[in-house]
Amino acid sequence: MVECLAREFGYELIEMNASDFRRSRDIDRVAIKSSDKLSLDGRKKIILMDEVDGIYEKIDAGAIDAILRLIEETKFPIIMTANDPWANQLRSLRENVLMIGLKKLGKREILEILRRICVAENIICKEDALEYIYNLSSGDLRSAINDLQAVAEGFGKVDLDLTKTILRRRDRELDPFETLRNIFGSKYAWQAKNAITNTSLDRDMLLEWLNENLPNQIQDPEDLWRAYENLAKATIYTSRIIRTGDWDLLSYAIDLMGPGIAFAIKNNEKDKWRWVKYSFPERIRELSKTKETREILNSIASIIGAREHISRLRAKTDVIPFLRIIFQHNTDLAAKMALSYGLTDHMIKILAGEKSSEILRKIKEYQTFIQKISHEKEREHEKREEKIEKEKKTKKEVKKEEKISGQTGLDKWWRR
Amino acid sequence: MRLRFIDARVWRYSIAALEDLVETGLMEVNENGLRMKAMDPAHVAMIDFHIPREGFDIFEIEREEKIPVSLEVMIKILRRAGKKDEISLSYEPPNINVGLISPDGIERVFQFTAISGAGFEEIPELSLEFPVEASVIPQAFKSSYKVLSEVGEVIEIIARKDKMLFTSSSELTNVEIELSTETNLLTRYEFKADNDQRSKYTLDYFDKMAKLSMISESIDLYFGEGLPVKVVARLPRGAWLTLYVAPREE
Repeated sequence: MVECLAREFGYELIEMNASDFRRSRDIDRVAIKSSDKLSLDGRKKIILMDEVDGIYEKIDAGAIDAILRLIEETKFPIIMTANDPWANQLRSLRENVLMIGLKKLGKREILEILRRICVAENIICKEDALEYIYNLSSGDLRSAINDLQAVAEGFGKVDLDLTKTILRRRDRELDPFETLRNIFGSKYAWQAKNAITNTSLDRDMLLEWLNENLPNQIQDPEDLWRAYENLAKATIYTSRIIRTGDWDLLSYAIDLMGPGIAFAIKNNEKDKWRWVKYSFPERIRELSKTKETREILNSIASIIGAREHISRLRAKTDVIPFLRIIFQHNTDLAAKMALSYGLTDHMIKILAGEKSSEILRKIKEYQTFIQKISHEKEREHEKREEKIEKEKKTKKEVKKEEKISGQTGLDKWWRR
Repeated sequence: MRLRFIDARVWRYSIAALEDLVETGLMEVNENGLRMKAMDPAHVAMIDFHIPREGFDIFEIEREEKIPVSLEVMIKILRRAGKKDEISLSYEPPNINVGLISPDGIERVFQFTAISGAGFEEIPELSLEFPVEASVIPQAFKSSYKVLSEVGEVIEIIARKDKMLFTSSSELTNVEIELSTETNLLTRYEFKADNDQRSKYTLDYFDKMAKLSMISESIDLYFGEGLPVKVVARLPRGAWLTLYVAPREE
């Protein structure tokens, strides 16, 4: 698709695959370097970064920041693809891009393409076999073509018996939206369990997605109560797993968040299949917005904890609220405390809010004052050292003179 | 395959320029001589290096060879090449032997293996028509680069009817160098456009070219507005190295 775009607009395509842009150095070397220069034949460029969800926050540290820098500096369009755009590590990228979802292809389109391939390759294809292939593909054209090739290459023809014998249904990862739809719409318990097993979300994220979207899907209050009750129990089991390490409890958690929710809908069965636009968990969005602030508060708590011999939690609950009051009302004391604790500008901004600039100004004053004093002290120290040195020298000279005048030791004989 | 070339420094500086863009390169040796091309992954710069058959003192090949070499390894060897050293090259798959021959006849031979299974991107032949052509004295090219790179990161080339200007600027300073046939810094200047031509390029890409100019016989410059700049270093024995740099999009 991106290639088509590039050809249509006459742009040069610069492509980076997942293996090419693991490190920020690679992104600098290729994408950032080319983002403000025309191609060698004078054309503009499209930069394609394939499968960005393959970047991991810890292993590929710096890669996401480099992409954000690229987005800021580029003079050309950048297109990124991801199988799972909701992956945690892509949070900051999501806020800076326009997300375009690629929907699955419908039956008509896929069958049409398969028929065209059959004609072009001179293969006899039965319509019912093609429909069977479409059903297995779940709207994924690539897997439909692969299946068609698998049957046709071996036997030279494609009929229903052959396709049924050769092809098997694929396990496919469900995106968050499909997962929720499958859970709510399950008729049988195994369907809801399957949706949880095949989801691309991890367990905690699935709980968040369900928590966010339950009230959207279920409108009957009693049904909603039942669903939340089961979800709450599921969270109890997941936290027990973390606390005890007993993974046998996982099956209870899955049962409660899958079938437990699907069968909570009793009073108004229509809710199961009602079309609802699901949304990303607001709690996660809010947490990500406040992530930086929380991290700074944690570092303040670490500094105070180390100094006052208390835990970080204690510092956060017992000390930081008072620090905030001091920083917002007594700028002079705040400046002295900030200097003494070695707080950074960001930390002061978090604690003082609007008063931070006043505190920072006072800190500068104190710093210049301290520098002045320390300079003076240094000078005094140097003077004292010089004085001591001088005294030593004069003492030595006096001694020497005494020696000479007293003519002691061998000197006495030598002089003779 | 056995080759011998009189000036090892030509190889040293040319391979360094290629290595600046890519880590591995394809050395093509055929009846016409030796050729190596490289384009950086960002598709901003391209280098084309050629030594004609007649340029070699010894040129023995049984068939056309395409040898994928690690430029990183090769440059490590070539850095040892002295001022009057000659270079010999032989290939017995998969081994490549590079020999550096000092003026007193002592040969140091380094052996390394060709890269196996390396896939190389097909590098296109560029066909561009440039409205401005100039031949710069190598020393002037080198010292211009030095001055410009001390001031900024981007060079703007401005071509007028009778002269060429290299400019670069930073927050505090800017510098302008005038080159013309009158000042004897250009030995040839052809201006075929109707209006002044100007384009900006990233200076970094010219670094190795400036070093190469030390051993060049002349530096030819081809340029036009919105077009890449083509810099050709004419080297001893009919060899040449061409650098293309894409213009900046401001």
